[in-house]
Amino acid sequence: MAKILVVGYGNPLRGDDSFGHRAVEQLKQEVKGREVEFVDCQQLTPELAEKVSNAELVLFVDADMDGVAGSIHSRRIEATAGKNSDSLVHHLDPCALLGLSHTLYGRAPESMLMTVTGECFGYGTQLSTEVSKALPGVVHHMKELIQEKCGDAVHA
Amino acid sequence: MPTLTIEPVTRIEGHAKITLKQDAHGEVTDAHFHVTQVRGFEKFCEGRPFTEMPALMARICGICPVSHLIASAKACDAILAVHIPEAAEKLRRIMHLAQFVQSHALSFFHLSSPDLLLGMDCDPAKRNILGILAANPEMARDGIRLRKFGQEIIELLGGKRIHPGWIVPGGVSEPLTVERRDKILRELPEAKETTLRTLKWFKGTMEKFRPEIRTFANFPSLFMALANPQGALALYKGWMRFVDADGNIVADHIDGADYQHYIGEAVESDSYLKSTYFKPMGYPEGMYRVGPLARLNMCKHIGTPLADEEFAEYRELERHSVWSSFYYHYARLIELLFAVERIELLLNDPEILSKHVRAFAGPNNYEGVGGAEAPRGTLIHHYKIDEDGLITSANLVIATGHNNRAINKGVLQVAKHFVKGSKIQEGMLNRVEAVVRAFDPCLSCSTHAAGQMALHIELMEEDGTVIDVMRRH
Repeated sequence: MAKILVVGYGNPLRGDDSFGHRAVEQLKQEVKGREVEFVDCQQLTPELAEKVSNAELVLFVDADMDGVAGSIHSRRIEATAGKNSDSLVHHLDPCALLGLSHTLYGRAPESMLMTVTGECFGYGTQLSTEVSKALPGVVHHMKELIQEKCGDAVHA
Repeated sequence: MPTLTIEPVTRIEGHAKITLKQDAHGEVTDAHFHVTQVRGFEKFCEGRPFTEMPALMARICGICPVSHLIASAKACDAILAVHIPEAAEKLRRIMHLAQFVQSHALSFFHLSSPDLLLGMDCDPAKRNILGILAANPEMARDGIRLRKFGQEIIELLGGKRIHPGWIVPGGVSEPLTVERRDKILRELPEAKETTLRTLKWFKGTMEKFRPEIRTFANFPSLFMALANPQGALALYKGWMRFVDADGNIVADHIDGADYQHYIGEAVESDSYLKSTYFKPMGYPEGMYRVGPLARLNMCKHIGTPLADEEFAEYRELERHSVWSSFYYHYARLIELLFAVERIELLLNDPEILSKHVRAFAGPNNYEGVGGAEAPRGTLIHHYKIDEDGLITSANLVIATGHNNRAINKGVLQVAKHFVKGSKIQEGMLNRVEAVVRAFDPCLSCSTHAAGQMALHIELMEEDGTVIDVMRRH
């Protein structure tokens, strides 16, 4: 049975950086099923490595700063060996987390990183207009990926 | 006189630098540990309602938010003048112990194990958590798993791993459910086994560190910790006690509210970290140590079966109190075992599921002091409020401040022993940093990446001429 892990991350008090949390929140409403597990967190930490290693597909969701506000980026990512060793103590990027998962638990599952370019990262809990507009598209894309993997095992 | 600067000190929580002064023969004559960041929490919480303090104070630190929550909530309990329900106290204790697990695991596995497993002289490019992954992946997994175990308990009780708001003035905001209790209980055997395995490994490796044991802040000093009538390890509740280097009690039964009669706070011009001292002996003679080493010097037994067995062996290290700060690591692991065992005992107490977990009252006092043992040592929060319940003054006495003088003295001792000559070697300087790590200082009391920070050291002649430079990127 496919097992999918959805990880939304970012600072929920920093405007568009909360995008990952919002996406997870929305997706939870639309996708039900034991095959999908949701995690929302401020940072990716080494403690997630074991959970990641047990999944068949991991979907990471975050905000980025590269591009036009509200533009959606989706790409397949691979495990990398950590370059910045000491940062493993506190936080990781998704590729380093996959690398850690592989080193420690022997598996780095298929993974996608979905990001939306943010506009406003100041204090606040609201998404900017452009990033809000991108939310349904990202959630829809994740639903497609999940259904591709699980078929009818998940439902709204 | 040449001055060596180690900046920043790596694999600690927060930002600091160390300066070492050498004479013309390359012998270290003086050493200082400087904390280069300032937070200001005591000031900016003035004017806030006291009921907000636990949630605000938890923001001080991403590593030990629970200790601040507890000290703060206890100060607020004192302002309310309430006795919190027994179940609430037990639930607070569980979260507190869970924090000891995650914080001690972070200190031992993530920050210090590279020195212990790979050696103080190992290539710095490998002497890090990645080196641990390569050399001993099981140890890396153990560290991650133990930390996760502590964090998950905090999350199950408080709703989130970092900065949970569940501990409130008067108790806790929600009772524990059967499902959550059972989930934690299921994870306990593995956590216990992991801790025992780590203790066994550490005891087996200590022999390799004789020079470090001899020189890592190994000197007589006072020790301070909470104490209780049973003589057991007191982490959540107790009175303050000072003992001397031989274990003789020099001050006892100190109520937290009287801390200012015994503890003075000094300020040095070269550091933002306050230095506390035992007032009757003055400054700096009244230097004392807190944290795992002090706590184990203070208690007669730990209070749980497996930890007591380990403690019996630990006490064979010295006839008097254990002085070497290298043994902070050992004491930390015994406390970790105690925490795991104690969590199990508390969860199996039928009262833990009680629905009565909070006492309600308005402010009945204008002042309150709350204290507890944080992973790094005794933590005190002291608040004063006006008649509207707004904070007029807050004083926070943080564990690392208690240890500041001892850290400085330890840095000098290590530097005198290991740093010699005009050519700097990495291993020498790593030992100077490692003695600081043994204390597990949390300088900012806040979340800081211990990340890849550049190390830049210059050795200078008296006239400022740079005679050697070392950079670590």
